[in-house]
Amino acid sequence: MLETVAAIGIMATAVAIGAQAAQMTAQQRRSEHERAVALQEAANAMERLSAAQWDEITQTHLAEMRLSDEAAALLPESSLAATVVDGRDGELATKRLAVTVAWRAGGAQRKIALTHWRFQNKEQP
Amino acid sequence: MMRHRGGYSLIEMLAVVGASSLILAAIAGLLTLLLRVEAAARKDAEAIADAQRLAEQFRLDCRTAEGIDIAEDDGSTEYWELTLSGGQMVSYFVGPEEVTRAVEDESEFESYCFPGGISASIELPDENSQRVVRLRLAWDYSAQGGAHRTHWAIEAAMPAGASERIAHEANK
Repeated sequence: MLETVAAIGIMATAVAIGAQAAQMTAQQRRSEHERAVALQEAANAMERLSAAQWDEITQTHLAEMRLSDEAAALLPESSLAATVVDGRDGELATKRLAVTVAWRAGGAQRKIALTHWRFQNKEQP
Repeated sequence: MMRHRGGYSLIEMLAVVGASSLILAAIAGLLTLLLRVEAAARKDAEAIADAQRLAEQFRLDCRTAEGIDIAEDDGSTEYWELTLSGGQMVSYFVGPEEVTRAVEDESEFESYCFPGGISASIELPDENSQRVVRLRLAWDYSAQGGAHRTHWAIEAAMPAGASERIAHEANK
């Protein structure tokens, strides 16, 4: 009787540990996928900003930027925020662009931020 | 006087063998499950890594592209052709489980693998998207035990001078 109880106890422990490990792996995988999608979204936003005309890059224009439908569906409670700070580097006007994608994962708030500088080119828009 | 013989009864032996078999079966089942989960995780991680590499390479190519064209080979399979600065041609072919990038004059090939199957399409810039090309990828992803289709949109900005050429190629 004692041996049977001990065997069942060991088996239950092994099953619990295995199930927990599998759950952690799945969560880790989901988290990695979400992070990769968030990074692509931030990079896409930055590409759009790098292609935009110099005069179009204003805080008003940036406030209209949104996540794609695919990313919004995948990332829970997600949002995209973009900011621009005007500056100067000697003779050149500069814009410091920052894009942040935030989402909730595993009860914690996660975010990815990219920063990019644009320098005014008089010849090209 | 009866002699006392040490040892185990048949019932005890059967109980021990039965319990051991159950434990071994449970451990084997768990190991199989963990190996399956690990293999799926590795496959997914490789697909994500390849999608990120593809995104990075596609953006680099677009950044120096003078033109982009959607073409078809003899088998009516669609591929994309980018003319880089200096006249170098780079083509992207979509296969059932991979996207291949080929550089014309250097005979250089690079493959991005998606073992679950890949579908890809490209959207050329229009008036609204300015100079941004959009590459859409969709592949099977085994998140949380079940198979899902994941969709990625990769956007890449082309240089200002490319606009006219893109419009011309798109209208061909």
